[in-house]
Amino acid sequence: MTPRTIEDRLREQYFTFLPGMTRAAEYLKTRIEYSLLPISRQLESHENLVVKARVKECGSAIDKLRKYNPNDPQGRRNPGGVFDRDRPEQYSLLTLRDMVGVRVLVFPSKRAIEADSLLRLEFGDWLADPLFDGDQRLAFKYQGRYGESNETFGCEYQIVSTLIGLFWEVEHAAIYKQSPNFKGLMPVMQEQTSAVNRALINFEDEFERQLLLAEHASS
Amino acid sequence: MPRQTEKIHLLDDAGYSYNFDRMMYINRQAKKAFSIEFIDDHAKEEIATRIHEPNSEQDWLFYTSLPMSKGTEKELKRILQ
Repeated sequence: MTPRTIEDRLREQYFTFLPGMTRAAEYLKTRIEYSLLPISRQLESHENLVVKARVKECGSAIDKLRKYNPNDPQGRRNPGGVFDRDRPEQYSLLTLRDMVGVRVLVFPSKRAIEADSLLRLEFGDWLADPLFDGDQRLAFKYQGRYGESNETFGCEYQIVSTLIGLFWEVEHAAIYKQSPNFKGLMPVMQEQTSAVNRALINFEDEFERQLLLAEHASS
Repeated sequence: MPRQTEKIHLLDDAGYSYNFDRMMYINRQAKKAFSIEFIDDHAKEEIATRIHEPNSEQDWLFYTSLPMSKGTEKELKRILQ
């Protein structure tokens, strides 16, 4: 009989945990939406706030574990992106920090700061791990664990500008999901991606500045 | 030109191409591979030296910031064969 590979074992683990992870995603989404009610009830017509939840796909989770280096205290990527097949016991989906993810898309950015304050009260023991592009913060991100039984899953929530969040969705779908050949574009596209991020942040900053000017003019 | 781009041009010119799944710049003829972390952590001159150093054993040479485990190295060599 062919021996089971690390991938076989991880796929089995994934489908064992999937119902629990799906419940965790629904629970966190609902808890976050409830916590953000003070904002979403008062949104102006030009503002928006959307909460989305997902469970990491099986293939993505296994790929991420391949890139995970259990021996690196800084958590940097595993060079070569391959499993050490002599040590299968060191790989488990429970070590991933983003098996369940919630993304809060908000516009404009002042609402993101308000959402962050409310959610920090609710998730006080979660660790902050903000996303940066150079010196520019792109998103608030927090990591914690949640599960209804003995198994708890790595969960994270992000608060990101709607403009950047939607750009990421398109970028991710185009480059990661479509074709393995496209994945090679990532490092080449890095500078262009940063330029888009900067442009979207500038758009939002200017929009907010103009709103303030308009408010002053009318008061 | 940003430093990172200079390093990547250096590798491109020496026949290396980026492999997304391996997260490495690889040259199958020279049997050498550079991890992204190694490129980030080292100066252009150091990378140039590594590109030009002879690979006398004709076995794969992996340039990484942290040492690879034996099992990882074995698996990577198998995949790159």
